[in-house]
Amino acid sequence: MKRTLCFLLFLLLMMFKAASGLSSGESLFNQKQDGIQLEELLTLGSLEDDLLFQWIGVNVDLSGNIYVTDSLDYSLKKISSDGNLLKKKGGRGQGPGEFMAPRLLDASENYLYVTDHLLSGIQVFDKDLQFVRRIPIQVPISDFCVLRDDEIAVAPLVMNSPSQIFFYNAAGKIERVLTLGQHSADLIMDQFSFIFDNHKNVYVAYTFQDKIEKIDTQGSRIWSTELLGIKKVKKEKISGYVLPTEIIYKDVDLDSRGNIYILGGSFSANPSRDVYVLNPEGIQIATLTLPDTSHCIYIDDKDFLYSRANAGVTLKKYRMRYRF
Amino acid sequence: MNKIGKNTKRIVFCLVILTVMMNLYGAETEPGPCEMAFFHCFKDALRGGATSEGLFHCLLGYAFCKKYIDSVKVF
Repeated sequence: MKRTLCFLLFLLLMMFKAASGLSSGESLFNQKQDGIQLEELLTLGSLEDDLLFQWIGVNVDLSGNIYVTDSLDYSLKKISSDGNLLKKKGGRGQGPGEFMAPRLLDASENYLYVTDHLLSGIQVFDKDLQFVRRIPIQVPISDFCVLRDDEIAVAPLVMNSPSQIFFYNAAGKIERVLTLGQHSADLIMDQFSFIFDNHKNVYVAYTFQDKIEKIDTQGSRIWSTELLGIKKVKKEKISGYVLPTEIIYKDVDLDSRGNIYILGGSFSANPSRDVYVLNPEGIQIATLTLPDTSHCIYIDDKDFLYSRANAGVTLKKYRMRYRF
Repeated sequence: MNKIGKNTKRIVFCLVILTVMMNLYGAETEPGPCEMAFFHCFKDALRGGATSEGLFHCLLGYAFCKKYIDSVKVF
């Protein structure tokens, strides 16, 4: 009788797990002891003001000025380190300096680079938000990284080819291709976010696979690791295409020590809030949890961490206090 | 006592079947906002003459939606 009751309890637990939609690979107990504490320093935008509506890309210069792309008012904004709007450029349109759906943002020493979901190429602005030029890149860009003004690494969305990073020059010509691995049969399963370190090694966090990799300049894998033990994600057939419906890793960035920060998605104990911290050798050294869900993380040159709150209306800046 | 045992066994059997069904077919059958957005995007792309560019546009939007919207849980 006692054994039956225990079994009954186990079954109820299983049913609760199934009902809450958790997948088989997810662990309820994967939270590690925090090695980094977050101290909130700045909150930009709120439901009461119109500083930000739905920010997407963020970048910070050496003076602490914050640049964001704001999708809902088709703009690129420059905000001072103390939170005042210094400049706003853009507007809805397809002309120079205009946006239809501004998305990703990266920067070199002198310029800002912005993608648009509905317009091809990358628009270049100076740090005063003056439009400079458009780099004609024809492939759909799922992530990119500016290494120099004449070297822009782009992760394209492609089908039936392996995961690759294209290196474009300032004129939009492909100079080099870095192949990361074999392609999977399903659409967008190979999509990834990436970041380069000072030695031009690239860290790759796959969006729909439990895989983080460090690849050298020649394309050789230095290490590969999985953090969550997810063997497969749920997929759905939509309009005849099989698409993954759960995100494993959302974004990746580096701090000045070379530690790797990976924002987890649906499978994390705290979905879209857990950030896994790995050392350059790929060993997990900490997990930190953001107070709010975010679509991205950004770490500036002074190791301040930026993430989202209020569904994109708010941008938060944190100091990271290391305890290791 | 035997009757109670039999009933418990029946309940357990029903629960096992139910659990297996729920795990197999998933508790959520409603398509999410990003799945719906992809569906409509692709439908529009087909109307405008299906091109690989149209599909890429929808796929990119889907992946972005998964990253951005799914974590918001406002829809």
